[in-house]
Amino acid sequence: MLARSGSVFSWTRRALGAAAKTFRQQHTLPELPYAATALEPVISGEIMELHHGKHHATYVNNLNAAKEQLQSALQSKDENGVIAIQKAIKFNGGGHINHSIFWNNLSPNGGGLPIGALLEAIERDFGSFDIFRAEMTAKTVGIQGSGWGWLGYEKGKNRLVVTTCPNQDPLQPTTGLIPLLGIDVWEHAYYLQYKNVRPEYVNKIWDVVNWDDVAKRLSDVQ
Amino acid sequence: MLTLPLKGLTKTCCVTLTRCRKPNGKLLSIMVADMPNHSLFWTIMSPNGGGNPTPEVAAAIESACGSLEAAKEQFVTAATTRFGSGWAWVVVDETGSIQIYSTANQDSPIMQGHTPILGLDVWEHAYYLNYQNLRPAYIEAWTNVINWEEVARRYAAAKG
Repeated sequence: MLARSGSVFSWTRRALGAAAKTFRQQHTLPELPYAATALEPVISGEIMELHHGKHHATYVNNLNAAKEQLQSALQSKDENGVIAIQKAIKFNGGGHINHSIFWNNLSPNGGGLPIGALLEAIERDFGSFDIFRAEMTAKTVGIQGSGWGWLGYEKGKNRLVVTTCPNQDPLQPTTGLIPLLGIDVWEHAYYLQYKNVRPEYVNKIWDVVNWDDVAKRLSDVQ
Repeated sequence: MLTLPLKGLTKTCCVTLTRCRKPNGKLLSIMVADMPNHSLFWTIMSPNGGGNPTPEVAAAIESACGSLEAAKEQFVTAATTRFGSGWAWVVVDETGSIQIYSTANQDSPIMQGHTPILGLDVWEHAYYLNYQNLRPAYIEAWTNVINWEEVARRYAAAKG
């Protein structure tokens, strides 16, 4: 669409606006791989709609806004500005990364046991699947405040590790571990359905874990 | 669940206890500060609350923040931008001045030698059933139930 005046100034302004808009849309909310109600009765459709459509969407929008601010600070060599925006990038970027993994870690056809190389690795590094599940459940339930429980892969030692991260701290930049399976225990992930009974939520979520996705994440990095 | 009597919990006691570990290695702080934080919380709210602070508290807030409006903005910002779980606080610091800030999880201002006179729980459990993800709406609505008489009482006690 041509500017009314057709001047170079107007064209430049439109081009910069278009570039800024493109940057603003750099990250997008991924679609859920299943219907919002598909994980019931483990996770209610109400929670899934809020969790994906509101919480994850907000992380995406705020990440895009933070990266715009970062870009602006970098371009104007504003070191204080660059440093000041790091917290928002970590929080919203971590939130986007974590939830993008989470939706795929779960499936209405999930549950049961892992098989093949993943099961072998779990048995090798934990002793048995039951021991692994108990450790991950305990550590995830025990998180103080908001955070995530993780099954991660330590590439240098070729081993699986269970750990936790606070808030939206993303696993890989924080610990070096490759994320395989995450369990979100921010209260928004379960409160509408389970209220304060976090252990019940974490015990139930194993019924919808998508072991195919977890296995693929491991095979992709080995 | 560990229970402790409220009476006799001095500032030093709280700071010391929050650094202790139970024999099985679990930190006590989340439980020790959890109780006084919530005990304060219930008292600084009232169905007849809202309005403005009492004159003495208002004067102290204006002295620290410039105006009540600026103080409210600072408090709302602290409560809104606490990433994850935590609390927003109005405290009397070691110089007797008002400060407004947030803490993570169940960390208490007492841990840094400050006396909380007003606190707002922004853990999701405090608002999710009513407000879902809309924490700002919860914060704004909450200002209508602040029990300023109790805040004034705590301020007077903090000033000695």
